[in-house]
Amino acid sequence: MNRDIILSVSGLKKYFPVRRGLILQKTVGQVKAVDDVSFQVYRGETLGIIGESGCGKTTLARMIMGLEKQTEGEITFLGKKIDTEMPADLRKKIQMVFQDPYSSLDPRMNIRRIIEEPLRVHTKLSANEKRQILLPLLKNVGIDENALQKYPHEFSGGQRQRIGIARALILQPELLLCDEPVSALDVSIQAQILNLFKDLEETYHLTMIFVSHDMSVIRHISDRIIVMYLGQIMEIAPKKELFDHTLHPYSQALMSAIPVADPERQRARIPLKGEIPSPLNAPPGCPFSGRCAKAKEICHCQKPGLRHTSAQHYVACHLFAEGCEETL
Amino acid sequence: MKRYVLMRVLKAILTIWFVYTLVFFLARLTGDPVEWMTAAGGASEEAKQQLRHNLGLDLPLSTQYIRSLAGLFTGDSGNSYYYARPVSELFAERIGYTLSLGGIVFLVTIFIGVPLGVFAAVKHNRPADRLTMAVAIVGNTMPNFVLGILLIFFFSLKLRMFPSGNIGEPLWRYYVLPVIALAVVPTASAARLTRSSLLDVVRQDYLDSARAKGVREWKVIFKHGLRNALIPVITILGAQLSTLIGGSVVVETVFAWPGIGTLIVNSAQQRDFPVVVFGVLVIASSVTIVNLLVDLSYGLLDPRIRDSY
Amino acid sequence: MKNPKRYRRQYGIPIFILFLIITFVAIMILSLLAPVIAPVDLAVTDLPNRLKDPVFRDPDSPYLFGTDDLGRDLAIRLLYGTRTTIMISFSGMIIATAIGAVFGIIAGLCGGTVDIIISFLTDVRLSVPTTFIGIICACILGANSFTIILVIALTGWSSFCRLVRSQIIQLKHVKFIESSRAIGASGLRILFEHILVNIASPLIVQATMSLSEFILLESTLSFLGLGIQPPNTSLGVLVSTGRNYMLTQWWLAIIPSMVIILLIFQISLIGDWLRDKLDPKLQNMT
Repeated sequence: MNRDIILSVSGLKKYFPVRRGLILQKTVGQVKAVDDVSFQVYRGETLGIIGESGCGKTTLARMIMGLEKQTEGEITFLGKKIDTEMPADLRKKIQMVFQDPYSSLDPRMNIRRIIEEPLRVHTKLSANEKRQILLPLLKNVGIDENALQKYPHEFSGGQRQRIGIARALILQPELLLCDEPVSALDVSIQAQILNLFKDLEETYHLTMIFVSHDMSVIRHISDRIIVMYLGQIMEIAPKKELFDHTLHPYSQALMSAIPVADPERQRARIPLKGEIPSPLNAPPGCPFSGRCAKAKEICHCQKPGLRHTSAQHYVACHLFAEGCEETL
Repeated sequence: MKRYVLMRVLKAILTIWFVYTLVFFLARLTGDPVEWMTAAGGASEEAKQQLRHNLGLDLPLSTQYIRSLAGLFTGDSGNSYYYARPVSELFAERIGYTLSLGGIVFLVTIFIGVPLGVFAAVKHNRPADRLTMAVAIVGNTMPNFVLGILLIFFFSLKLRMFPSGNIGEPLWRYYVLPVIALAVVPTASAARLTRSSLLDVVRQDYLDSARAKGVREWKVIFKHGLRNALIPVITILGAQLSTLIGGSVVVETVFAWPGIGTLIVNSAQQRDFPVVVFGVLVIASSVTIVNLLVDLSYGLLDPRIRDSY
Repeated sequence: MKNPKRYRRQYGIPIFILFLIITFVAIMILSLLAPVIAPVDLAVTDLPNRLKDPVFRDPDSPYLFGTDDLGRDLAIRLLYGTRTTIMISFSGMIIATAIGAVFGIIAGLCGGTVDIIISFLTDVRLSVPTTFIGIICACILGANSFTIILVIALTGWSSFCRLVRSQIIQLKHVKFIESSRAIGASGLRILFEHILVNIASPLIVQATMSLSEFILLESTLSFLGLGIQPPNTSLGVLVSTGRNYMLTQWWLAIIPSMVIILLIFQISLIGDWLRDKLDPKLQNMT
């Protein structure tokens, strides 16, 4: 695989202050939405980020998109540091597909104007030139050319998501960030859209970050997977490696929750005990320690670092601390 | 909660002070009242100067402002230019007529508007409901003064049933037309509000359970629905007080009613600033205070609002 | 038009509303063309012909609605009066909408202290009844048409401001705004291409609805003698002068009153229809 790094995130943190009071507001605490996250995205790969709701994956995506300012840490995209003040030429190269296809399209714009908006923002093309770009794209994402004059409310959820994808692809970005792009859709439609992503990945040689809470979706689409929990990375591994040698107890629990199509096969489910602890008062040690069946004493008081166990497999867990050097 | 009350009271005081200050300075900055007062007469320059001195208009603006503000706290509201009497006296003479008119209108609103709304809700979507609502919509858009004129035309000039204005004996007959002219709009909106609010409440599940027990429809509406439906009605009517006061000025003028509305309109025509400024203060204070009370009672009643502070 | 049901479905305008709109536009055009239709000097009086009967009392009368106390044709004065009323309320409405929209946008986008100050100003405005603001302004600035326009602007802006502010605060967190930010669209582009377009229809509905309030305000102030001054005329002035002759020439007050009622009805019914029509929630349902 080509090891060209397209995006690199290091030590990224996002803390939301919690305020109380009417006029003179006091900061009474912090929500650590994203807490010291580091990883790289290589050109051409699809990186899946999985985690339960509230684990900080959306905040992470928003920071990469420059929609949210990080509290600390660096995001480097194509060799340049980026934050909310991203220059236009970099902004063009990173685009996003949103979760909710109902609210992410302006109801008062027709489809043509919605899809062409990135072109209007970044280029000064004539109507004809825009059409030259638009038509093949429409074909690739599966939108009928005759639909261009219609408005979003005339479409179904799946079609709207196709529109959202076309809008994100029209500038031919280097990196496509998908924030739960199928979770608002019916299951039957989900598969269509996921396959569309796979096709587009080949056609446009896309590099994607694919955020989801659904392990089966992530397994279908990703080359490499990051498992997040309470704002921190638990495990990073290539898909096959992760599924063959699941290390982190949390990842194991997630794996066991994937429905299996074969009724003959019985898989041991590892149910998760308890609720996600409030990010407001996260445990001092491993964030998962409270729900972990294999938790040791050290897990409750000391935070495990992310260590790599084999070439591309990283895990943050005290169970695998011996013999592994700390990295990243 | 304490803090919420405190904030709201402070804001109300600030609002009233701001209105007073604004009107005071606007009134002073846009012309010399003495020039207006003597415009017709052709008074000499000395006489004008003397008049200015007597009215305290030769002092610096800031002194005038502080004096008038201080006067408000000591009960001295200044003298009317036109009547040459204390403004507070003029108001005291007339406020009874205005308040009695407003009070009766309020009673009419509650005792006619609300039952009409209940009636329409009970007869939901039947001709009686449609008719009541059509009348209410007409009443709601009817301009006060046009209504006053129409009432005078029909009931006073044509049918000779009621006097066309002012007051006299027997007193109640003089109240009838102004009360109708003023009460139609709030009564109509009370009826519409009661109906829609009641229909909202009636659709709730706990009333279905009452129906399921076999309670009769009108009893469901009266016993269970009305109490819950009236809270929003009262709130919104409280907020409409401002419109009611504005309307009373117009109606008082139409019927030559000896209340403060007529006084303020006449004073405005004569540019009698002390009366107008004091009038605005009285009106703005009463609207602000009623709104404050409505807000606070709502805060007390609704735990969601209470807890957010 | 052979099949009215189909026509209605095609154009989405019920016949009744169509009728209202056509009559309203007709009244507007007629009154705006008043100087062309009847080029008269409003100040010129014709005392020998004062208080002549209208056609419905004396079929031979040359005056459709009779003449007023100074011998002027009521029909012509009605035309001019409607013209004044409509022109003043329209200009007032445009100014009030513009001020309210700008303040609302500023309050909604800036938030914080700016928002608190603007909200305070709307509270201040709402603490004084509309009629009183008219009285104060007439008292301070003198009674004329500019004062009324000013009063309309001063009293009308707050409801537009509240509407726009709440709409913007809602829109700020809507995903399609975020989606445009993610594309890299500038704040101004988002404001013009997305926000303004999306608040336009509630704003149009509110403006239409408020027009009837402004017509009412104009005629009320003129009726109280705090607005348009004779010899110029407006619907309020006509009612006010007519009311002195109610016992004998009742139509002098009643006819202009009816015109006021008619205008207010037309506008509120059209406004109601527009609100239902432009509501995107209702649109999605069909």
